[in-house]
Amino acid sequence: MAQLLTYELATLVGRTFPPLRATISEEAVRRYCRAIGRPWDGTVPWSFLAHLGADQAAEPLGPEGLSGRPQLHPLPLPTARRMVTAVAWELGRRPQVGDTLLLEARLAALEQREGRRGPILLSVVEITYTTLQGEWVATQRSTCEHR
Amino acid sequence: MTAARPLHPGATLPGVTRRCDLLQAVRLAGATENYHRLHFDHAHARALGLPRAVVDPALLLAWFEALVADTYGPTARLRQLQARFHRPVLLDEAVRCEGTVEQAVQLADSLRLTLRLSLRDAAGRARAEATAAVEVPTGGGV
Repeated sequence: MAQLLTYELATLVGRTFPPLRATISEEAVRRYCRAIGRPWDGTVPWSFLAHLGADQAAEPLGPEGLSGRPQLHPLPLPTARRMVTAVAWELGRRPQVGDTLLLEARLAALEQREGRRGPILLSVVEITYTTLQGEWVATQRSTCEHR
Repeated sequence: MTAARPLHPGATLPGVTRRCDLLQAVRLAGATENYHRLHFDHAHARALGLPRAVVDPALLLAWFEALVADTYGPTARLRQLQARFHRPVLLDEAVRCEGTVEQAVQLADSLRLTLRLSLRDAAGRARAEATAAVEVPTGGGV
């Protein structure tokens, strides 16, 4: 099996990304609810958090026009494509319109597996959402397949 | 409403058919700042070997969340949601979003339910599966 996961890449595990600070605006939540086909009831859908701060992400990279999602932090991996294969959310205090949250991300895991068409890398990025007062709101773990 | 809610192991959540069209895909791209062409550009998707553009998995997760919220109402508290995306859902493809109660544990003033959720295509194959933990207030008993 070809070796994608080098020692240098393995040392990236645990690396943190620059934190983001983002405020939940009513306009953004309304727009999101419309996009997912739900009437806005005044609450913030948990799934909205996956996109909070996306407007601060780096410009799209690569030929596919990569996502601006904050959970898809650029990783220096020797692969061309990546795909989200799993997400896991732990949910605490429900966010509200007007909240400013701190998003702190780290590369939690990186491993190589053999896929149907050859070796793939799996990355797990963990993002913790807290209020500026330190109250925990949610933790998201996104697993991406890189090939 | 309380009597109709599935609260016991084996009970099924009221399923709903979902479909994402091109307009919704573009709306979602704008609302989420996810401009990956795979989700709205059919030609780009075909160049990658897919029949047409595929639904952003973020929307699949939102559908799972909506199923729980619509079933248990605004007083229920979603505690965990874990999803695995097995195969892409194509734009304009209908999928069935459904679920069952796997476990129910009585807490002091709520019932903690573990749910098994899935998105299935017309052939019944799971495109995505999820587990959710939700706490439903009971006021001391079910």
